[in-house]
Amino acid sequence: MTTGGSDPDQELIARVGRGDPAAIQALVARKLPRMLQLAHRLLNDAAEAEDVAQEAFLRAWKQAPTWQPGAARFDTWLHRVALNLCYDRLRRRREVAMAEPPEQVDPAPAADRGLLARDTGLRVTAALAALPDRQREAVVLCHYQELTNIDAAALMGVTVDALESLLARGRRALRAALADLRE
Amino acid sequence: MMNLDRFQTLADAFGGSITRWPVDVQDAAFAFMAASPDAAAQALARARDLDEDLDAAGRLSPGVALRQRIIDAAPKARRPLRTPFQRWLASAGVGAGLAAATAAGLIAGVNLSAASAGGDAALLLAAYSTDLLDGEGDAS
Repeated sequence: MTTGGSDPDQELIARVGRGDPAAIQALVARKLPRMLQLAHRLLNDAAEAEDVAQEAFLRAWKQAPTWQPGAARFDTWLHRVALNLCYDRLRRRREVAMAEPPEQVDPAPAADRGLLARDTGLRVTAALAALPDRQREAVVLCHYQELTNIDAAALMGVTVDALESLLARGRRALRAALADLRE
Repeated sequence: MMNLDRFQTLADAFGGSITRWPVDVQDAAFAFMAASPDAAAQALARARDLDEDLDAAGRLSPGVALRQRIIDAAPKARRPLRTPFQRWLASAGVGAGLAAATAAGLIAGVNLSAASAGGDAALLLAAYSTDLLDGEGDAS
């Protein structure tokens, strides 16, 4: 994982730790959209994404007064916190799903499915949500969060080769799911 | 070793922009692109199509209420100590308890002696003591 030697957030975090209102506003403006997007892409639920983003910031506020530069870049640390909060929620969902199997979904074409097919954004969101969790995490961290392969692999606790494999499989599945958009 | 297979694999995994590929393969990838421009362009174009599709997914923007809840929970700046006596208490490590005891003593003393002198002095000192306690509480 990238170390904090050239952490672009270092000075801001120090000011946040001292309760500087301008620094707090600046940090929220800089990081909140990224955290919200990360959680939204992984959980596919706006309300849960807001909860995760808020909780990640609460932990950042606790950490800021004693933040030690050098251990990890703040952005990477915040991603780790948000990612772990998402993992917790995904795990709970799986437990609930196992305890209460979902009803069978009617595979017949619905009347509004043609509308959905024309909306690329909704199609992409649905295709992402249908990916296995680890493939979706890899795509979200590398494509949407624009993390390096080294940082993304470290966050996911896998090797860079394993990350590359997850990305390739995830993107292949996405391309297949969205193939008709290019026809 | 960069060849078409490896180039294609990297494009499949990391997308259609070489600058977003792992740093340690970028030089070799650019060299391959210079040597085999048609094959490289085809692989990149396919990956770029998917990048564009992914970017079409809507973004959830933070609302004002969420932003405010987060900001409201942020660390608060400590209020500066206003009087030399407050600064002395803080630097001497005197806690709020001692300050409260001191203030209570001041008030009690003044109340006893002020019975004949009227209540104004006592009220003034009581207000000062409360103010002192606020300042000391912030600094502890």
